[in-house]
Amino acid sequence: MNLGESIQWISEDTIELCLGEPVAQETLICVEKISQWIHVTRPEWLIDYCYGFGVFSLVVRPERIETTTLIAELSDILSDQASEIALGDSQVIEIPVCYAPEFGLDLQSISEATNVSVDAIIDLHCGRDYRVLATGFVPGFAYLGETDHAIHLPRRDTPRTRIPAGSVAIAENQTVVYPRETPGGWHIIGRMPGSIVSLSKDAINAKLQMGRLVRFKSISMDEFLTIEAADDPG
Amino acid sequence: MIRVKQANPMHTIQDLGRYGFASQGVAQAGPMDSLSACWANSILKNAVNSPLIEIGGGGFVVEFTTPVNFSITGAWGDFTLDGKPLIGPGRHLAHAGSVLKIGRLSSGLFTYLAVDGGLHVEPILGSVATCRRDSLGGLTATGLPLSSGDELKYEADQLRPLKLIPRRYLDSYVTPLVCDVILRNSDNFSSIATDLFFNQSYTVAKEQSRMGYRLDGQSSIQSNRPRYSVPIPLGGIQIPPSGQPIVLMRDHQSLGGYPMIGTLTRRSLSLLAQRSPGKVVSFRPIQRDEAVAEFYKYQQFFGDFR
Repeated sequence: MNLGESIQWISEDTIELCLGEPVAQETLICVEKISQWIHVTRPEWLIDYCYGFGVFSLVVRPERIETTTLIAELSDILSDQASEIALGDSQVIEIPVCYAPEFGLDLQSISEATNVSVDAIIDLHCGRDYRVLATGFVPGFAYLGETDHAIHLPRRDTPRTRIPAGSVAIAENQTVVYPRETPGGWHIIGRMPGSIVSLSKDAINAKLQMGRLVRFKSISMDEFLTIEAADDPG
Repeated sequence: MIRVKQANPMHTIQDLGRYGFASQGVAQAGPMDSLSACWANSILKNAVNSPLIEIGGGGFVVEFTTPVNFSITGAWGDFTLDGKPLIGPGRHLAHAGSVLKIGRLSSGLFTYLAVDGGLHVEPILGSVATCRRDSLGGLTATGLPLSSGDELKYEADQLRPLKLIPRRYLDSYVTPLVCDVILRNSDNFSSIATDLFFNQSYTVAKEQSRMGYRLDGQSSIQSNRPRYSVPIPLGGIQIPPSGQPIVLMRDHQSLGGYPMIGTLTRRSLSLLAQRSPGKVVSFRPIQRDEAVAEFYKYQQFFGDFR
């Protein structure tokens, strides 16, 4: 693969690689190839990396690797046919969601804007598998796509200043779970019990990893409270 | 140890930042002015990544319980040690019971206080850098700033005499700043937009945080509509729909959807971090090769530099 114009240095130590269409399967496979290569080889010249919607960025020690070598390495990884990579589709991550009105703050307004009943919105949200299209923004945050066309909506005009942790929300063609209380402009449709991300001294353990498949399952308020109580470390 | 007598939420423990977790959305954090932070450790012959204190906006008072060399760099103002004015940025000597007052600032925003051998703080995700946004780092590893009553441990080595940082290495933080920008070619800014960006001057707006600084220019820059969120580099310059640039600082989010016109060099980013609201800033394009040569110079001088 010739990377040519799809690669550029954007700072002294950061190089950016455009991999193509953000939601295309081929793009996600490229991301998986680079991520796996990083995990396996742990290049000593690499300081950090990040991926978001078609763009992979690598923070490097520029004194330890030549640009030409770096581009050659990446080309090799991306054109390696031998290591055909699967995205692990057999293991679907299931996220329980309580869509009760106390949690689904925007269900009614979405229903009015889209002409889809609240029950149908919930059915559409639970009725398909989503792909993790990107992770980041804040720890544990994952962008999942794509939602059913009938419930596509632009983000709210005025973002909320506080969205409760665990809130499940939609906007445009995507759906997300808020890992912790933050401001946000997405439409809130429910809440998941427990936490989507945990932290140890040396690692972040996020449920939703890049490229994986995710499915939402509707649960009652009782089930929500039971899981929430069991998950509470206190 | 250092006993904190007076502090505010802009007083935090930092090192050069948290790396390896950007793909999970963790901010790199670290000193807003890494040049001054590197100087603080360098003048004490500490390892460059040693934990130190970032004091935003002055108003910090500490007591040293045992004799130790400490260094003060960055923003300057009404600073005293045992009631006597500190004469300048560099290495100083505290006695047992000495009280250091970082009072009102006259130039800059962030002052750095390091001690011989570095502060003893437990890292989380490989760094002690305090990031409130991520609830990571600092004394309790949960992102809290320093507060009155906190005790910070150090082990003093042999004491050395006062040594100041040569003046030629210091910036006033007051004069108009010209920032070097490495252009980014992906977001298709028109030549009119790019020319405007480089030809007009800006003032630093009140909206300043460890995540980003907003700048105000007379004319706004046309940018494309928001697109998918992509990785943001440290020092990246976003142009939101308002047409007024936002420079992304140490605690910036990992992904962002606003078009980016370019990235500040690390040196320019440190100097911008010290500019308070109303200070004048302009931009000039720089070839990456030139920026890297400067970056290497700092790396050779400090041992590492980020």
